[in-house]
Amino acid sequence: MIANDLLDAPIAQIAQAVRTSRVSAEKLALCALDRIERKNPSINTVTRVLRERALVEARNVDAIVARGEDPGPLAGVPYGVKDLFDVKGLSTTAGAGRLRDAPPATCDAQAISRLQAAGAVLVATLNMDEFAYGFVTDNAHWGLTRNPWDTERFAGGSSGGSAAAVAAGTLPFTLGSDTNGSIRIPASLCGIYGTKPSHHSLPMEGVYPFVHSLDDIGAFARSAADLAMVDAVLRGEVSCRKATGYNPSLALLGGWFAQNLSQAMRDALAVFAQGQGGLRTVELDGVDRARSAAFLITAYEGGMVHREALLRDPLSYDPATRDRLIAGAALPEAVYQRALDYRAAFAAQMAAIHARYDVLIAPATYGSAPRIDDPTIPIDGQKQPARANLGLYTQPISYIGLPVVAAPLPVAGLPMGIQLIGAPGKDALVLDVAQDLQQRGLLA
Amino acid sequence: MPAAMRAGTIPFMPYSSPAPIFDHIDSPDAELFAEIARILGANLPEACTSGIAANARLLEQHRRTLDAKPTAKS
Repeated sequence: MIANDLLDAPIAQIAQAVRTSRVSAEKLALCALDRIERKNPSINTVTRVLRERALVEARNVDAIVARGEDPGPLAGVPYGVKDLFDVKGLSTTAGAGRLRDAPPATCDAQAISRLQAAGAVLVATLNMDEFAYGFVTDNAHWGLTRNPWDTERFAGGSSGGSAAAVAAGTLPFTLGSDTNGSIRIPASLCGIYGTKPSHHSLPMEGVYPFVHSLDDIGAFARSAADLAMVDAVLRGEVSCRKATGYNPSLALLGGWFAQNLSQAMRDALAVFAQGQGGLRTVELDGVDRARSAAFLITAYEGGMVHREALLRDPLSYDPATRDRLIAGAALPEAVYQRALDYRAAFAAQMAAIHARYDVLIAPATYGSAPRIDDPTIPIDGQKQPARANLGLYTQPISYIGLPVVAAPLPVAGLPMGIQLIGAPGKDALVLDVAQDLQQRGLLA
Repeated sequence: MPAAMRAGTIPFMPYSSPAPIFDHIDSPDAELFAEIARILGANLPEACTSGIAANARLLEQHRRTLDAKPTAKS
């Protein structure tokens, strides 16, 4: 298999080829850089190509192999990161034009360091909504990221560049961040896998902050097995653990999570449930309150992070981000406190359900990607802006910090995905379930 | 930054006032915008008027949802 074809193989196979000298990491990096050059103009996923760094990292991996040593489980695998991870020597822009000339980072984000130590090769930074505040990756400075399945549609956001790069086959995996759905939504709309880990269970050092109470990093990949490999490295685990001899119980979330869905999503969920031999449906009270609480926490904490800069130089912000942040900065602390207070009651309800079911299934998005020329989604019979509302089904889950794998359903046509939701700390179990479902053909 | 954010603790604070977040939530955009500028103690560009007002009204919608008396399964 030549290097270019190898980029489409499972991550374990790519790394094995590098470790056994069947292909060099440098050759793989060059192929990935070539793919970026060929594919990026039509989808605009990349903000900065890190050619020099990639070749240095790749040659280091090749040198380790030449010494007869093991470069790690991700040996020579090229990847990219959302443009809010610190990359040594580069300004961390968080998608903002106003930070393009900020002082360069003095070291890599911890997640990048872990990937580098495992042999992975960083080749690019990737597009996002400014300061991660949006669900469409329409950036005033870096432009709009388009969906590889249909370039007239959104890739989703805010980690849209990371998702579209994997979906387009440019890179085997990428990193993103998820505060309200910013990994799960683009994963769904681009037809790939993504993780939203248990809150703050993956290293956040060197990641530009948005909403401390909700921010997490995670990965995108083409398969659940690839995702599990990257997740294990990000956690600092030696190898990818897989549970055996245990048959996890699944249930569908109904109520709020069954409303406002497209017919295609309803049909796909029904097929999924049938494939499981039928699934029990469970409901939660007050999901609308949870979603609104997440919305208010986001506005308040995001506004606090940016308040000083916003008031000093508001016109340096993307207007779509600026006006949301300013309104949030004016929220009273008492409203924010009430939004935090509701978490305990909502989490207790979910815990009671997780005591009966290991993994809960919910849609990640209402359906497939909205068109760019009609940036709305239907909610309760009315068109609402996609930028602010695509998180309808994801926000209530991240509000209480649960681990989720977003996974594509096996549908014809435009992709759409579901959330596999675990109890706190059960990230590995959810990844196991995703791998099992994919092997059985219930996930794409 | 409020203490709850710094410490990661959540003090109990029962909600007692049904008042909207902003006094001018039902007023024209310019008045709502002016109220927010006063709260923040800033001279905000007029170009932000409609965007900030729209987002303030969206926040109020979510505040109402959060504070609404719980109903049946939602």
